[in-house]
Amino acid sequence: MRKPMPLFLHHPLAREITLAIVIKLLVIVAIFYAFFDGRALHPDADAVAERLANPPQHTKH
Amino acid sequence: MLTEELVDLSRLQFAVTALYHFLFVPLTIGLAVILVVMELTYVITNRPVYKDMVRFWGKLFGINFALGVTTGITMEFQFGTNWAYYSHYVGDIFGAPLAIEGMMAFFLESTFIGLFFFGWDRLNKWKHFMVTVLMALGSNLSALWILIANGWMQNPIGSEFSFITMRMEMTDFWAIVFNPVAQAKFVHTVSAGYVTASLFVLGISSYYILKGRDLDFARRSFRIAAGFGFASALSVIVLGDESGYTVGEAQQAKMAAIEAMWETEPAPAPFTLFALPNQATQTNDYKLQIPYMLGLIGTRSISETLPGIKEIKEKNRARIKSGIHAVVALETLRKQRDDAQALAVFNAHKADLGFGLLLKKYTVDVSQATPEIIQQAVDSTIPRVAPLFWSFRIMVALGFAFLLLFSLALFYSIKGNFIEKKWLLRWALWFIPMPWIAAELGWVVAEYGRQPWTIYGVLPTHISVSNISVGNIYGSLAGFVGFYTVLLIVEIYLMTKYARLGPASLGTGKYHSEQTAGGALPAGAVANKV
Repeated sequence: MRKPMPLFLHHPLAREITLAIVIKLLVIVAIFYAFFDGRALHPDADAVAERLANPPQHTKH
Repeated sequence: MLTEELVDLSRLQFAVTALYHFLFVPLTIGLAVILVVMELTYVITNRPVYKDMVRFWGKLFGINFALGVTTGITMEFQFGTNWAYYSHYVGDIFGAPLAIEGMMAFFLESTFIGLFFFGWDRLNKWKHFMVTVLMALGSNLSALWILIANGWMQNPIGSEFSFITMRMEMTDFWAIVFNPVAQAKFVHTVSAGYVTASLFVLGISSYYILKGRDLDFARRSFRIAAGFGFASALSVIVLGDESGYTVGEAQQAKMAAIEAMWETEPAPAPFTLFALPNQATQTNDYKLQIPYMLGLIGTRSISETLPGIKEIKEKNRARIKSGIHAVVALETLRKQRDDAQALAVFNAHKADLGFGLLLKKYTVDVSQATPEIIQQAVDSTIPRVAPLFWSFRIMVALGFAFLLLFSLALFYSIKGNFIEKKWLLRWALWFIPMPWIAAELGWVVAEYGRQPWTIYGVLPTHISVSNISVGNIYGSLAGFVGFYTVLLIVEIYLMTKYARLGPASLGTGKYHSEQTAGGALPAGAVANKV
């Protein structure tokens, strides 16, 4: 049996706003997932100390 | 390999998303308060035209909110993806106001926005008015907590660095909340939002008057916007001056760069109205000055001096040299935490740790920094002068233009003949985008002027950035620019559509196109139900 729609989605404007927010969140998450997933860093105190002690040197491109 | 390109791209990505987010914010903050004023007038007078005003301007508020919401999330995600070291270093402090903003202010605002739109038939007029008040309170509180976080980046008080956890730790929550920089920024920013919304209402009302339609509705909207806008424009200037004063206290390099003040001038220093700053020669090629004015604004006295860029650089040179001891002692303490001598040296110099870290951009071993390397670090402590100098002046000029416009609008509103002043109505209409330009330039001054720091005097930008590839940032930046451009087109399209329709979009049958079209409702099913 089909589940009834939540009450607030009965209103057309509420449906449009919900849809807009869901689409926006999905696009933002997709962009982050595509370009940053698996590349995020989890710096702990030692990692930060190591970075400060031996930072990758800056180069100009 | 960390490249300047990576740092610059990460900054650009944050700047693009922040500037885009702030296209929506000021209108939300300001329009919510104008809705309170309109609805209060409605509940007191019980005249339906004021209810129509709340519903119509509320509709434009809703479009702006629906399109703007979620654009702030990208900035918060970036703290983790692009600025991972920043997040570790200061997350304990910076994260707290952001979390409070989400839990307290944004939830409050979002909940009551729902009640505002869908509560007209379910709540009596006083209860609905209270909903509008709480919605406005939520949006303004949201700004407060964000600006407390931002204010701490500009003036990091109430906290201390721990060499054990390698992060800044909060020592005084209330010092962070009542940080004078944060408080000055808050009142200045919300006032700017009130100006934005007032000009938005004033300009669109002028459009209806110029078209000779919905005159009663437009006249009343115009008058409310003129009165509220005048008070807001006045406060944005007075509170902007206060914000400038706190910058002068907390961030002397930013203040000197904004004023293109290379040398320390005798007190009270002149205000440079116009100049062509030359960073290479550290002089102004041409300048036009007003005597005494900067000294009075910047120090609130006639005897205190404001340091020039060259003097600030020499102070920073001393701090960088002191910071070398802090960095070396920190590296020793990380290897041997009970080294009493290193601890004593670290404690003596830890206030300058951030300045020592500036050298890490140029050398791994800061104790071997040559005078040339130290000079590079010293030069980097001053942001580029020309962009700050001009951004600030355009913002201030626009601020005074708003004050003039609202003064005239209020004056002719009181006289009761503003409808005849076509030039004033056209000015208001064509000036609608200007508060956004002023607000964005204000953020350029605040954040570009903070360089080379993410946390002023504590954490350099080049150390804050994540080790990610340049390609990832190019890709995500392109994604955000493309997506945000689409959203902006939708926003402008919807705003223009409903602004042109005017109060007829409410479907009450009383307004312009409804009467001319024989009662047809042109706004579509969705609009009619709001």
